[in-house]
Amino acid sequence: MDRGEILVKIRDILGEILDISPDEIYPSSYMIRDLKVESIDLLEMAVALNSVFGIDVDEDMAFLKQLRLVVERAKEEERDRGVALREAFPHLGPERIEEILSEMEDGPVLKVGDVVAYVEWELEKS
Amino acid sequence: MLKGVVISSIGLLCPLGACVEEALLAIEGGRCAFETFSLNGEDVLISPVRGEIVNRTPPFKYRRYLSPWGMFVLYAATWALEHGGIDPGEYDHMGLFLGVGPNTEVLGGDGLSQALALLKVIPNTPTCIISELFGIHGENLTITNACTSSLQAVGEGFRRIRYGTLSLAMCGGGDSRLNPWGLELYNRAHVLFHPCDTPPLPSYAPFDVENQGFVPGEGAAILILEERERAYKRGDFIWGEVLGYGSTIAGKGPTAPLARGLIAALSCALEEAGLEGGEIDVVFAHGTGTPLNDMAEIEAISSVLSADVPICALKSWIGHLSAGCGGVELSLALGCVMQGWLPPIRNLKHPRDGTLHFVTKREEINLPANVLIQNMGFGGHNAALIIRVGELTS
Repeated sequence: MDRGEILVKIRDILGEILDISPDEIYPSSYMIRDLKVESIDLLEMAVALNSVFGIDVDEDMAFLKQLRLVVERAKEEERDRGVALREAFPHLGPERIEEILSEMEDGPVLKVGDVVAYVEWELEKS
Repeated sequence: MLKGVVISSIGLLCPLGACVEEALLAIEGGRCAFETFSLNGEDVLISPVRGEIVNRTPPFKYRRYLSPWGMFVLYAATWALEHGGIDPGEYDHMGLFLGVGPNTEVLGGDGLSQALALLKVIPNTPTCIISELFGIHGENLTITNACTSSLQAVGEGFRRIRYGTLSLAMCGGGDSRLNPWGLELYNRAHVLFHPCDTPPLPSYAPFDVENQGFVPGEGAAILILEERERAYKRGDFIWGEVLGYGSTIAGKGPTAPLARGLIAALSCALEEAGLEGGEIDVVFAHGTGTPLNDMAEIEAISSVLSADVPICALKSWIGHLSAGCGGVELSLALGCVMQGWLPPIRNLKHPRDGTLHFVTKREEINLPANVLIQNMGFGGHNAALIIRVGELTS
């Protein structure tokens, strides 16, 4: 399954959970800031990802739940934040990691594209 | 000082229509909505809501946790608020009292794959969603007392306003068990009407000696209750003034109705209304068509009301809406009486009691009129509500 097919399925899942049209959902959409996703919706999304893609969803990774903790810890340990993030979220590419680091002050960073990347990474792994 | 309480808006969804006026037109036209459902190869009659409801409510993501009847209740609530005269700025202190049934769909495992499938099972999910969608934050209850639930919800809202703890309340409820699992539960309890029991034509008739069981239906009604002076000053249309409410529990067995429990509820409602039994102008009976229910109601009506009081049974038109029946029947009753007529009990040919006045043909009723609605439910619950239509008390 390629990234485009994964995106189509994820847009359908999100559309159903949020009761909005999948046409309103883009890879660049911020899940929390734009789509107003709440924790209860992420619970449903994890169940749906498991059901649709047959993967065991690691919610911390898929939804970048520990992202700020990883960055804080890197700071405390005087490590490179980008390296720490790449270790914690191996499905995210270097460009996306840089983007996340630059936009962390603006609010929650999770994008639809991050979840697509996570599913693709999980599928490749299996 | 006790407050006067009026009903200023009604949202209704039932097998005969998506508002009171539409349903009354169907009754006047002699139409009912029964259809055959094959339950494990056996034909039973059901009375379903027609049409697509999903698009008649505002979009919202928690729709995924609503049972079918939860959607019906939401539709009725939306209608009642949109067609009522309450300023949305007042919703914040509105009370919310809903009578609901179980979501029997989950017995089939449907939808249990969701992370929070629990929300489909607990009965207060529609209450929560209506609160969020409309910003209603006042005193509230979700009542699950079987077939008296939604009438009790109206009674509870009435009492809060009457005693001054609220000035405004959304009351009512809904139910649907029209799925294979809900119907099977009824069937095992031997309460369903079977068309083949009365050949050659199916003819469900509450209070008929030949009738054995009810036709299950679905639907919801939401009524906006408020302090009389507020609604009066606003000049809004008023459906009726609630005068009295009574509720009791028989405490004798989980299924069989007991006349003395209903008699006690009727007596409470009459006392609160300041009326004698002879001053009730029409009774809209629970009238399920199960022998034990019909006999208990006949005994109670004979004991408390005058012998010539007209008796109507709306389930003969819409089926038995379980927890939703009280609110829906109250809404239809107010609509009929306000228009000055009483609906006949369909198909009633051989009443169980020859001395009482069962309405078998359309009758006229003069206003003002004191209207009594009564329901009985599994568990021994009884509820009665008295409404004056066509005139406000002073």
